Amino acid sequence: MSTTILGISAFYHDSAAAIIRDGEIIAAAQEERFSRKKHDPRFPHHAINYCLEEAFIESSELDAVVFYDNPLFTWDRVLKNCMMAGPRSFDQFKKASRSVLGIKMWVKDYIIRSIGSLGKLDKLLFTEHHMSHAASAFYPSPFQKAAIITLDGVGEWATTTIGLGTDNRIELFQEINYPHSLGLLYSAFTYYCGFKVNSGEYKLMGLAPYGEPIYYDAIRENLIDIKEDGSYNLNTEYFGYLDSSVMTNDKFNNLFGGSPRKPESYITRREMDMAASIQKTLEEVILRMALHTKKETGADNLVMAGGVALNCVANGKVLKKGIFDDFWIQPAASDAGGAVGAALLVSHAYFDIPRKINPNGRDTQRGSYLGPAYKPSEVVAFLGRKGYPYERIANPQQLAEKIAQVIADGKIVGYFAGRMEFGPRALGARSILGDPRRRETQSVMNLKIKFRESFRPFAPSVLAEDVSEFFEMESESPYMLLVAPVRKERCLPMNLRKFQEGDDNMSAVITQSRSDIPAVTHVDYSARVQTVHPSDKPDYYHVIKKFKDLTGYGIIVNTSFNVRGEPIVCSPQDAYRCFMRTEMDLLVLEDCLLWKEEQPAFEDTEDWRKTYELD
Amino acid sequence: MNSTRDDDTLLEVTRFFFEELMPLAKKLQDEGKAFFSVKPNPNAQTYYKKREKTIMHPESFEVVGCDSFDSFEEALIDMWTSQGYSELTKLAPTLLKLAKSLYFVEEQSEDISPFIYVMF
Ligand SMILES: [Fe+2]
Repeated sequence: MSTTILGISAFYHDSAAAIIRDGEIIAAAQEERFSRKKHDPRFPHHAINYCLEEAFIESSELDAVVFYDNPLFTWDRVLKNCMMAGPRSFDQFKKASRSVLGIKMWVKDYIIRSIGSLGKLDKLLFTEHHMSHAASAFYPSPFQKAAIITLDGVGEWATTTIGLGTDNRIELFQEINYPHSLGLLYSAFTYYCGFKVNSGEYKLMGLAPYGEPIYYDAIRENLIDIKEDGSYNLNTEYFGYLDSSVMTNDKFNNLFGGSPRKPESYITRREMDMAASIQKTLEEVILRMALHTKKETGADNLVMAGGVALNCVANGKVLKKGIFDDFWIQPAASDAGGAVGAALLVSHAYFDIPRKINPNGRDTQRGSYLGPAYKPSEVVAFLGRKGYPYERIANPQQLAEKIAQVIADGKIVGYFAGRMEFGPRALGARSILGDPRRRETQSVMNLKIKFRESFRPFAPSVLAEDVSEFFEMESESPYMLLVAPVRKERCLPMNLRKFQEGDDNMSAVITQSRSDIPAVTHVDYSARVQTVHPSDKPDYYHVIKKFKDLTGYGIIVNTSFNVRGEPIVCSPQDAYRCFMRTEMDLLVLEDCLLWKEEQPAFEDTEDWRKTYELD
Repeated sequence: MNSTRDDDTLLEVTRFFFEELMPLAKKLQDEGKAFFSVKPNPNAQTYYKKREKTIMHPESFEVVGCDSFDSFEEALIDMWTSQGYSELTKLAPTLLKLAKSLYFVEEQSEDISPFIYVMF
């Protein structure tokens, strides 16, 4: 008899569902991929249905259904927060009572309405928010024992927890609570710099290398007190989140010399320096916390989850310091991953299912390829129905060779193959690929394909065995969660004189070649690396391998298959639409190749720039 | 949701907030009671708090109060009593009424989600 658990995270942002059988992850997906609404927080009907289908199970046959968070404790926080903040928090109370008291509290009813059953247990289970994060980080990791750190904006009351995982037991013994939150601090800076809270944090991190941390002292003296052990408290006088729906307030603005940057306006030196300053602060907290956690647990390895764990620059520094021998981060580190964590926790802590560690020393996240796949026959049927011209290459070696050749010729390829990724990064299943050696790749991909800010660098996918040829790193980074320096001998000097003299125009920096792989080298000569292992994704591995045969470089550019503000594509239809709306040259749908110039004129029924709200 | 019902609910929410919640908050504040610190304490050795519950036992997966309106009021009372905040328990009956008025069925087609704010 097997035990199958459905995990759900919803009503915060980025809803998701996951299904676990006997402790093994069968499927996981975010609702946004199906609903086509970025970070969709609504009840994940589609994601749940997909998970049930993938597991060949009816809802009534599920052993249990679990929600990733405790709505009662969340409500406790909302109420007490408003009591502390006073009458000015009325607006917040209005919104929160609708969300929590009107919806989240009754998630059980949503589940019954959606799938008709709570499974054999006939009652909904709940986990603690940070327990879900911890479980999502520890159980799929390759470690029998590991220290655990979770860091996010807030979940119920906690914002930070520290603990230990051993076999199938997870223990969290220390925490920091709301309103003291490293995640909310970073989000306040994200907001102040004109990016969207909950999605723009990544941009802020990308902006940091352009700036100098000149506000670091102001942050340390006024906003945050960091103890030797990495624990911290904020001075909430500077933040708006206690009593309003914006992150910062006048006191914060005055400290940093003016109002927040207007979204989409010109990025100035101030934002670059703010980004650098908060990044330095964040790294300091995380490094001290890692040392403290090592001391408390004595564990050799570390696992992490929670939105802050997506800060791959900080992660790279923790790894480099050698505090732990090795670490593993849940790729769906923010709340979507809570669906996986909650279901794993129920498997191991409720049903007492023994934990299976991967005997080959790798993790059990399965490359995070946990979403839907479309068979070549389904793709062919779709293309036939639509009358879109294509060429089919059924031989995988020939297919990989052809794609590699196109990339080497400087063309941009939309690559759709196998099961969709779970988590915010595209890892070669729903990716746009390009040649990292060409200087123009970054600007072409940014402006003609992604329609996004050109300062943002792209990430490389590199053959796992070749990673140290390009980067100063030995370890694997299959989920693009580590940043590493490009090897010195590959770097080229940059002329930064004008920029350093105060010209804010970043394009003077961006357009310079920084190495022999310029499209993936950030201005600080770093890169956000994905290592590709043949056992995780053979098709993708072979494309890169063939590219190496042709060029001598076992590395390509990989960016997510979407335009700005759009969720990553899920189905062949989504992929085709995105392909036709952008200046990609070739679309690979499983073993079918579609050339842009051969496609019939595309009649767009909607103005996608309006459909997809800017992220 | 029809607009008359929306208006009535907003009235209830407003009344609760200003006539029950805020007066109680003021009273607690005057008594010098705070639910959390709002500023750093330079004299503190550490800001880490020791957690009381360190692992999830099978029974801790069951949250009373979220299963039906019937158990909601009592769950709030139990929670606050066990935390030592018995002053809050008198809010529970109105919160149950509010929950009933705010109870919302999300439509898949609805474009605007109520989850517009980062914290909830
Ligand atoms: Fe979280």
